[in-house]
Parts: sequence; structure tokens; C-alpha cells
Amino acid sequence: MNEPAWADRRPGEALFVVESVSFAYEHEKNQVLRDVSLRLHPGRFYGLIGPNGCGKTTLVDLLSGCKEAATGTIFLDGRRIGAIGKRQLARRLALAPQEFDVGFGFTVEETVMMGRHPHIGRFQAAGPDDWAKARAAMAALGILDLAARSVGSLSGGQKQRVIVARALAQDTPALFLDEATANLDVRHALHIFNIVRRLTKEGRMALAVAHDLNLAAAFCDYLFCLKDGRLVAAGEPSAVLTAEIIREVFAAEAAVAWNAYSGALQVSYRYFADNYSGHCSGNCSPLA
Amino acid sequence: MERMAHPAGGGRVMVIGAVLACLLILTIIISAGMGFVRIHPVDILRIIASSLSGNAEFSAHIEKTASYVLMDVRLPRILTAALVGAGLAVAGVVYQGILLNPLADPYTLGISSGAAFGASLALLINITALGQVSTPLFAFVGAVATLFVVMRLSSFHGQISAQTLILAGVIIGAVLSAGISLLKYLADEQVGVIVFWLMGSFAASAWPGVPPLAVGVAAGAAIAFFYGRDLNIMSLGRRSSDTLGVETAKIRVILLVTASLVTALCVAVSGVIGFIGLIIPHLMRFLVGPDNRGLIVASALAGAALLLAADTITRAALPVEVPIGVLTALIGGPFFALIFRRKLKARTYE
Repeated sequence: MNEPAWADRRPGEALFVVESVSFAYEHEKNQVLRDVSLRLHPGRFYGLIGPNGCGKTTLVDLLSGCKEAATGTIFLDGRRIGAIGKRQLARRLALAPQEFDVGFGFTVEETVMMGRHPHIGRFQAAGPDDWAKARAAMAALGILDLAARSVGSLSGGQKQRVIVARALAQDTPALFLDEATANLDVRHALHIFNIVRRLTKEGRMALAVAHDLNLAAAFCDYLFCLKDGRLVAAGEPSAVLTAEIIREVFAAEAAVAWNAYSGALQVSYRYFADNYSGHCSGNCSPLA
Repeated sequence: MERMAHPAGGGRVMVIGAVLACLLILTIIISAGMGFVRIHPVDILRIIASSLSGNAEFSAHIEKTASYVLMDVRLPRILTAALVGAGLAVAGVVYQGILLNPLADPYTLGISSGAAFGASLALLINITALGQVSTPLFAFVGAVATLFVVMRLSSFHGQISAQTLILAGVIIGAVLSAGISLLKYLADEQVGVIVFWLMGSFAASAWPGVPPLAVGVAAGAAIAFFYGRDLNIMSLGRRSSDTLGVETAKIRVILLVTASLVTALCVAVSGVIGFIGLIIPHLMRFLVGPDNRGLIVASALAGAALLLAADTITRAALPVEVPIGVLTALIGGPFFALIFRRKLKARTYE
């Protein structure tokens, strides 16, 4: 197969192998994903970046078994992902989505305990181990004191932390975060990225869909960049987050430099168009 | 010891379940004694014991009329009312769970309209070929046909979503309502029979109807209970439940068909009785919490007790028999509104 130079290949080691996967919604011509190939290894924190509508969420859905690829194959531990039962799959991977429904007033603790579902037999009750893992996940996210609160009564940021705790309680080798920090303030976003980073250092694989390029640059070991359903760049943050790629993919002007204070690459955007365009003379109102 | 810290622990649910079960038995005994012929609770137990054991000695000193009234008139009606109450309440829990909508009830998908149309048709053309069972049979077929159409209409790419189901149910329900109006118009003088059936009644309940209803409701409740934990997780939405090991699409269809068949059975034997399937799941959710396993058990018991109590009121306590469907809505509506307001004030209900 004709793979580009950046393709990360270390045969036999990958947790996930994605082979030229394409996806389109039925009765629609536009392909959401086109010929995407990549490998995900244990012990790494991956970042998935790209503009809105580029297919990030669809890729996560394919990797987590929520959708099936039209063409191409995804292997998890060498097995075709479609051939793995939902329950088995849920023991291998967890997904923290951006949004979830919170109907019917389940408490924070009950919701986090749902993460243990794939580990508890149909006629079994939750064991001490399940409770311990759920409580550990709540403690890690700092929501132990919310345990008895109804999820529907929480703020957006608190809900988001419940989602992540629920995914952590699932205790899986692979973790997907689909913009799971989108509603969080800086402190909690950093906290979650630090937790996930620690989990990957312990040997788990994590993949986060990230809009904040600076967070992705600082925390991820490896970035995949999608545009219009194609994988246009992949590699270490320093290789992917260049001024050229950011201009090409996000249509934004940016400078990327090492920042000693943050200890990471820093993407600085040119915020004001008239700084450089200069062709606005006289009335500059966007509504004029 | 960790489990002790759990706020909605299993112990509390067990106690509430036991209390509700006692309440149901008490309601059955009280109801059996009420009516034109009053029967003492002790005599009721004696008559039942003697017919169960086949030993006439238990009820030797009791009048034969009392025995006849209890065993052949009241008991079938009592059991039918209780089973329908349980069935509608369980179906309500399941519909609210799979439609992710606390306003859903057993009739949201137009199942009741389908049954009503079938029954109206049978009454209008006066089908007696199958004797007593022709109206319930037509009602059941109408309900199942409606379910089939609604499911076909709402499935896209093999997927059924909550929104499309509700939408399809509303559309089909509206068409069927118009159809029923047409049948009523055509019925002319016979319209009273149709109207009376539509408002629901247990007056025609008899023993032959009890076993199929009991088997259907029990099987439906068992299936719903079996998938109770999956239903809990499905409340998080499709993406979450899929990645938590729940076969969301498959279980949604299984539960949808189960709840709809139970509803069809209930409507076929009793007509359209509203509010039980909406109120009971809500009341029980306040009592036992949102976990569907406890909710299904509690709702079945409470639904049975409440509908039986309502039927007993209309049968034995009121001077004229008010249609049961009217009574449940008249009592249930304001009661529900009251509790709803209280809970909203307390802000524990979302």
C-alpha cells in the first residue's frame, strides 16, 4: 500500500490499525472521511485536530464502533472491530462524548457507575471493585462531593467532569475524548489533560479531539490533522503545528514558537485582520 | 460498606416494593368485599381458599350467592383491572425510557388509536362471527398493525430514533383519530357503543380474558426488567450507551415491541384508559429513583393497585358507574399536577 512518509508504522505493536477507511452517510454523495489510514499505539496520547466538520467526530465514532466504515477496515488488537461484540468492545475502549443526555435524574454516582456496566454480568450486582473504581474516578475528577447530586442539576463544567469520570471508571486500555474539555475552564481542562497524560504514561492509549491547539501541542505525543475528511498531516506536535499547516488547514495566520514558561510549543494567532490586510479604508464596519 | 453510602440503595427499593405489594393485596381484598352484595374479608379468604384447594369445607357456612358473586363476577374484573394497571404502568416506564421523554406514555405512538379504530370497526359492522372476543381481537390487531406502520415509518437506514418514533406516532395517531371520527359518524345510532368502548370499562371482564392478559403482562414486565440496566444506560444517549456495551439499536426494538404488545393487550380488553401509564412511572420515580429495575417492579404494583382502586370506586362507591378512563383522568390529572408543582419547587426533578 502506498502510505505517506509520516505514517507511523511499527508492525505488531499497534492497538488500533485503520486501513484506508472511508465513510459517507447513506444517500449523501459527500464523503465525511476519505481514505484515512493510521495506527494508534498503547502508551501514547494522540490529538485529533482539524476545522469544524472535517470528520473528527466521525473518525472517533468509527474507532469506537458507533459507526461502521463504508470501505476500509479498522482492527483492534488484530481483530476487525465490527466482529467484536459491543460488550467486549466496551471493555477495551471508553468514549467521553462532548454531550450526553441526562434524563430522569440519575445521580452523579449512579452515572459514573454506568461506566462499570460492561464489567458487571447481567444477573450480577456491582462488586466492591466496581464501587472502588467509580469512586476513584470521581475522586480524580474532584466530583466526590457531588456524588448524590442529580446530574441534571449540575453546571456544564461539572457535567463534563462526570462524563470523563464515567469513561475513566470503565477502566479500558483505550480512551477517546471527543472535545470532552470544551465546556471547561482552564483549570479543569488542564486537570483532565494531566489525568489523561498520566494514564497514557501507565500504558493506556488516549485520543482526544481538540480544538485548543495549544493544549494539543502541550499534552499530546502525536497529532493527526484532518481536513475535508482527509488526513493531511500526522506526527509530533512540532511537525504538525507549523505556520504553513495551520494556514492551510484552519485558514488562520499563526506563529508557532517554543515557550519556556509553558514548557511547550505555543501557537499565537494573528487576531485582527486589519493588522495585515490594510485594504479597509474609511468605513470598516462588518455590517456596512 | 461502600454500598451503604449509596443513596438509592437496594434496601430502600425492596422496602417500598414490599409495602406496595401489601397495598395491592389489601386493595384486592377490600375491592372484593365492596359492591351490592357485601362480603366480609374473612369470608373472601375462605371462599378463595376453598376454590383453590377444591375443599368445600372452608366456605361451608357462607351463602352460595356470595361465593358466586365473588368468584364469577368480581374476581375476574378485579384481576383484569389490576393486570391492565400493571401492564400500562410498565409500558409507560419502558416508553419513557426508550423515547428519552418523560412525557411519553403507552399511547404516545398511537397504539391506542389503532386499537380504538379496530374496536370501532368491529362494533360498527357488528362482527359477531367470533362471539365475545371479536371486539378485543379487532382492537389487538389494530394496535399491532399501527405499531408495524409506525416502526416502518420511523426507521431510517435500519435505525430508529426517539424523535422519528414520536413524530410517526403522532402522525399515525392523528390519521386514526380521523378514521374513528368517520366510523362514529357512520355509526349513527350505534355511536353510543363505540363511545362507551373508547372511554374504557372493566364491566365486561370475564375469566377467559384473564390468563392471556396475565401471561402477556408478566412476560412483558419480565423482559422489561431483564433489560432494565441497559435502559438506564440508554438514557445517556446513543453514543454513550453504544460504547458502554449496550446493543442500543437491538434492545430499543425489543423493548418497543414488548411495551407495545403489552399496551395492545391492555387496550384490547379494557378500552383506552389514560393517565395510568403516565402518572405511575413519574410517581414511582419520585419514590424509588430513576433506576428502571426498581421502577418497573414498583410501577407494576402501584399501577395495579391504583387502577383497581379506581375501578372499585366507579363500580361500588359511586351511584352511577363512571367510565374508568374518565375517572382516572379526572382524579389523576389534578393529583399529578399537584405533585409535579411540589417537585418543581423542590428542584429535585429535572
